[in-house]
Amino acid sequence: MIPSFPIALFLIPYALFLLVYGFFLFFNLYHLRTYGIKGTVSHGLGTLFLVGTVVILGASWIVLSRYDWGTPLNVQDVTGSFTNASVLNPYDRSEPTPQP
Amino acid sequence: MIDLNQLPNHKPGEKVELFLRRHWLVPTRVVLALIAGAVLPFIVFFILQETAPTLLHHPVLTPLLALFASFYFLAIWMLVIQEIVDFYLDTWIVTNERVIDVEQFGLFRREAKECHLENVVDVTSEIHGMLQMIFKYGNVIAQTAGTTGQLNFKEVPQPDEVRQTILKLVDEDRERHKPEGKTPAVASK
Repeated sequence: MIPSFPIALFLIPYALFLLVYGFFLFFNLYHLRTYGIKGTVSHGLGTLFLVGTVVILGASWIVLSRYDWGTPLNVQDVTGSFTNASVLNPYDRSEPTPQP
Repeated sequence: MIDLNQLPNHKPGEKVELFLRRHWLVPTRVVLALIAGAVLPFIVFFILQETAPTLLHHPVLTPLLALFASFYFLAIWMLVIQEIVDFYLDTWIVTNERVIDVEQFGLFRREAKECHLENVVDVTSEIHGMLQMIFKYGNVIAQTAGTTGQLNFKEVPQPDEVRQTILKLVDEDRERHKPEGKTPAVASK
């Protein structure tokens, strides 16, 4: 039996990265608010950073929610038997032909 | 936030003569490079669409590619934010009383130096390289007599004019603050 795990596991490092991203964004906005020059530019930059983040995260959400994250990824595929046949034809799960 | 009309430790009659940031070309180069990096996944996508379209409909690879693309775009945007904030928060302010040098290094390091104009003993400007020569930007270094050491105005526009303005302000400041009956020291070159 080939061990497998759902590809949703890859969402865990992604979530950790989002935490780091949020940390960076928060401190940059904090610096802008605390040390920026009083005026519209500081507010404009802060708004631009937030809007850019919302756009990227929104687009990511729309794209990523289309996929079935419960799809199993076979460990055998990861450890080297990732044949061209299985890459190019996802529904072909046949064992690779042994070499003579 | 910093109010240019009411700087910290504002002195009566003090007014801002120069407010400087790095030349616009400095962050633009980095931001353009990052934007070019952001275009890269689209190029890869179109190449894959032409050469291996089945890869884009794979139940395992496609979501992982999409996840990586999201990570990649967020990382690029994070670097753009960092570069712009670094540029925006590095400021050099010259008033008719003092010179203020504020620099932000990454997220958790910030240096602010301040020196009264009468302590400025020497000001030099330097332009290195073709780009700096063409776009007229470079460094201005103000050597101080106190413990502040050097104030380094990095990659500011028109460094020669900045140097001359500082020297003029130093002379004016010494003239203003000179004790009665004494001749002021000459700072200008």
